[in-house]
Amino acid sequence: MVLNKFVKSRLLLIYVFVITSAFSQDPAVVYVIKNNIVSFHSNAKFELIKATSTGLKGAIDISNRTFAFSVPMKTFDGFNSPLQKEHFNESYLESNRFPNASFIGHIIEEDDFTKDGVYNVRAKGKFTIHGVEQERILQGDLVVKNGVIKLNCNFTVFLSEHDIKIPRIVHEKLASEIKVELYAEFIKK
Amino acid sequence: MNAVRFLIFCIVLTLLPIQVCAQYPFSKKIDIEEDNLTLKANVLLKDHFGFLWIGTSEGLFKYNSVIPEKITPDFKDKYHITSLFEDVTGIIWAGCKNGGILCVKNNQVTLFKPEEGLPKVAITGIYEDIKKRLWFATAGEGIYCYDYVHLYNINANDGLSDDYVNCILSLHGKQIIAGTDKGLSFIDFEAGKKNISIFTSKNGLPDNIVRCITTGTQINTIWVGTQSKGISLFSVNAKQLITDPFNKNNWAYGQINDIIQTKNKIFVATEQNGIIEYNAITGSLNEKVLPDSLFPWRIADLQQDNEGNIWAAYDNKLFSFTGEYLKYWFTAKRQKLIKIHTLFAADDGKIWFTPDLRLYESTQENFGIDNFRSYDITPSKKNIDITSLYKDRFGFLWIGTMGEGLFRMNIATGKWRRVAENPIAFFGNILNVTGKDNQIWISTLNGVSRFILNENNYELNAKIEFKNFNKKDGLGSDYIYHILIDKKNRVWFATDGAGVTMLENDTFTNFYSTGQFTASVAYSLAEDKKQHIWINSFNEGLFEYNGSGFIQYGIKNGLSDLAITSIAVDESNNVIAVNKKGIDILNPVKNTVQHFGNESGFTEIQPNLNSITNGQDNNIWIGTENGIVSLNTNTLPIAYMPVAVIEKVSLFNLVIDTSLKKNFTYAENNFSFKLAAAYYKASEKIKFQYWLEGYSKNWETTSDRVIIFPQLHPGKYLMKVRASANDNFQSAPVAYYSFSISKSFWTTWWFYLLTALIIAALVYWVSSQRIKSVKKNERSEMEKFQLKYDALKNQVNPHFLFNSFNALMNIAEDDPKEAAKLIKHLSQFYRKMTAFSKLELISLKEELELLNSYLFIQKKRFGEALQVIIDINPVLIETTSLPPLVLQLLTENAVKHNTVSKDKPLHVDIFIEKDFIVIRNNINKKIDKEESEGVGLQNIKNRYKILIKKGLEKQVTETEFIIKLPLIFNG
Repeated sequence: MVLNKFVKSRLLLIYVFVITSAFSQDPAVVYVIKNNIVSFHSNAKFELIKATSTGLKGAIDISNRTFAFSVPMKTFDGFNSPLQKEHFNESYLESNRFPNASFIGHIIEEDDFTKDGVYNVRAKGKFTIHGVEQERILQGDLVVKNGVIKLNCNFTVFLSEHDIKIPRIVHEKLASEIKVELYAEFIKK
Repeated sequence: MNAVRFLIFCIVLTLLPIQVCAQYPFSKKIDIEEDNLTLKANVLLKDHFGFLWIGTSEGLFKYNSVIPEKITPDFKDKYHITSLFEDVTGIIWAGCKNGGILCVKNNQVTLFKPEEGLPKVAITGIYEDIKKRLWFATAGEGIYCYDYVHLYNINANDGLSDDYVNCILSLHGKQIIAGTDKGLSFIDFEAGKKNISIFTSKNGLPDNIVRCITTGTQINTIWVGTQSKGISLFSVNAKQLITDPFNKNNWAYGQINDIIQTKNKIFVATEQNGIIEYNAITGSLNEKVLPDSLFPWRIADLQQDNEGNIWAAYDNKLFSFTGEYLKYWFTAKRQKLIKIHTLFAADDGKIWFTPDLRLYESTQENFGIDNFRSYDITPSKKNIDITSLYKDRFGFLWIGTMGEGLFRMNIATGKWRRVAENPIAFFGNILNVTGKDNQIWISTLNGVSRFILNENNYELNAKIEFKNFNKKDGLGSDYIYHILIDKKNRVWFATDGAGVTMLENDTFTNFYSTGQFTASVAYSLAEDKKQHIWINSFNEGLFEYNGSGFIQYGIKNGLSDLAITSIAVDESNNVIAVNKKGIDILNPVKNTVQHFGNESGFTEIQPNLNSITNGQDNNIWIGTENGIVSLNTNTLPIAYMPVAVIEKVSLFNLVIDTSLKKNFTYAENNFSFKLAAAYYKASEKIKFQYWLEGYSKNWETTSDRVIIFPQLHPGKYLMKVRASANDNFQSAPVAYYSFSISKSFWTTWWFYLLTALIIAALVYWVSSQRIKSVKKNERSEMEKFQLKYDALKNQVNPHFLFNSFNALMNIAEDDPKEAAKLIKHLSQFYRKMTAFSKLELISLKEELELLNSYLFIQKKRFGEALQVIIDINPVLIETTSLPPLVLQLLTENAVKHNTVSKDKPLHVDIFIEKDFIVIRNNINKKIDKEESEGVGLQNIKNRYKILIKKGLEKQVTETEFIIKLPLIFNG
């Protein structure tokens, strides 16, 4: 089962690359994630929930500005308590059924990322969490320097949009909006 | 006024200088920002108040009919506005060239900052759908949809025809229609699903580059303006073209920037060829909408205001023209349209007119498109001054002339004859010709004549029966300006000198002589749909005959001038009165008057007497010395009234949000109200009335646009504002702003109550404290008294005295020096005791001195049996205090209560432990105990409690008796 999930997430990425490179005219120039940190926090009325993961996998093809990211939900850690983590995985995100969150799409700006520079970019794609796919535009800053791409991105996940139900009792413990911060470094594959 | 005066009047008119202009001369030009030549006006918007907004390369301007005011602040980065939209809540959205989006609410600008970020290309269009989602079209990134949570993107990858979107529209707020560089796209976006269909040149679109789209005339249609193939009408439901008149390469005017649809016409703004007017019914184009002198080539945008004027944005200017409701013709077929002394709209839709003493005819709908037909009736002179025209039931045209008499003309053949059989018509001056059925009436300077047609008169040359009437027959005057045959077949005569005369059943009634009609000179007659007769007088305004009497209308009703040269009544019973200042349109039911005059340039053109005719579709044609005017009352905004708006409310010069802030504190009392009312035709004519209920008792009239109330008292207020351009405020809509200023808190009932409560509490507290302290003092006095009493008791304690003296006696003999010392200590002891017992506190040093004296005495008595060790830090001796005689009393107690002998010596230790002075003695209970109730100790305890709110500590074991006194530091 675990292996199966792993393979699934891998397949997703491979699938994206195949698709993107098949349609793009230019030869693919793929950068993959080397370091990353993804954290989220929920500023609810009575309790701050925070967790962090370094399990983000993903790649950008700068030839056609397509990308795919995926993070296993269970890699999030640093909760207030083990109980909180358990609730997060079992009650809210149902991480056994929906192991990954992913974002697959393309960058709207037609910048040339082979050149060093700082690019404020917007990415349009399918954002999936808890098995519910939403089209989203996420904004971030790409810094290209010496063959390394650094990405900083902040965005909000609305639980209602992803069918993540909060039991009424814990309503005041979990905000309906989750703020996500993401940092990733890419190197050429 | 007599005939000679009339002739002079006519001659003067003909001598006026001739002006030649093209069709829409009455434009108004506005510099958006004077001296700013780099500014480019890009887009126009009309908000729900009727104000125009101008998006320019240098920011957003609001034009409230006085002057364009800049709304965007002057930052380093200029806001280059490329699109404008007003949503249902009245917020103005402005899209910028750099992708930025501004929101303007209450004239305050904020930046739209969605989490998703903003496009990086120009925003070309904004629209709101029925779900109140906002749609933004961009030049290069497709379309964005904002649902107030997320910003979504729809582009070519989703099926949009192209990412370069030029315009956006929704007919019912459901499906969004976008015009792109690659055709039309129809977008449905529900529940995250994008459903897009496209229509391109492959489907028959004349040109793939769609520049603009506008709601079409018919239901579910749009006008599509293209890059190079003109405009076409498109059915949204059927997804097909209805008409594309210019598909076959006959659009010669290049790129289209905007299309607006007025009631009957379509105006097209082009990139290189100014404004083109298109008549969708006839398919005709008019490229000379604007005079060449004013002709800007590149028109960026068009907008129609609530008064019906059309505004165009070009370069750094705005200009307006009167749209389709008021039009002017100055030339036709190189013929100057001057000296139009009469006009006649025939039943077949033809219009007859008389430019420069000639006779012309044209169809009404194609008037001005150079398809005129001219007729020659020049019997003896080259030209002939035609004063009146009428077409009889046989289709013959009757032509009345000045000095040449009366003619009848067969329209089909163009043949004519002079009607010579009637002597008053023969070479006479004909002022008016009219008729009904078989009757033809003419008026002259010698009375009137009635012709009766019979079957023979199908023949042009057949003589016509006639009968003449003059002053003596009951006309009242021989000079008749106008004749009207009404629906009841009564004949009305407008006379010079005798007011109005009516002929009914062969009987003349002169209303001037009966006193019912007060003006002696009547110029023109018209009948309305209620069969009331309208009469205009030489200088006394309008009269309405309602069947029983005459109602007069004058300046007080809003008429701009009383010298009216001609009148007409349209299908909706509006009375059109033409005077030298312009045109008044009187709605007698609503009692409103709309005026088109000087501000429309009307005074330049000099209207002629009774040169007016009712054409088709409420087109009123007016002949002037310098041209022909057509007024279309159908397309006229229904009795447009300026609507007053409270544009800004400022509190101490800070703009407040009137939708949120309605309550103010007593200190917030300096209010200023900025008023505005859109009246683009003549904003200087706007007057405001305001009434601040709660402050004043009635309306105040002002031309000021800022009203200031510097110091309003607390209370409830209602600011009411209305505007008018003709001092008729009664029917003007009122703008409101209600607010209240609360009383200063020290005048409110709760403050009084609170103050009373606080005072009461204070009084209570003070008095209770007083009582307490009095009691305390009483107690303290008692304690003191007790101490004094005890000390006094001690002083006279016979044992102590006796023992002292005994000791003295013992040593007196052996050691008289010691005895002297003893006596000295004894006296010292008593003196100090007496002195200290009056004080609250004494220093520890003083107490120890007293104690020493006491101990010296006792030592003499007990010798080694009394062991007193005093171990106190010298610093503390100087710095601490204690109630007087405490140590002495405690030591005395120890002596009193214990056996003091050599076998069982009494040890008294006095030392410091933490914050206490400790007196410790061993217990060696006397058998014959001296009488004591511990009054002394209790006394000391109380003293301490009063002084420092701390008691002393007492520890009694089997062997030791310990008292701990808290240290009291000096100061």
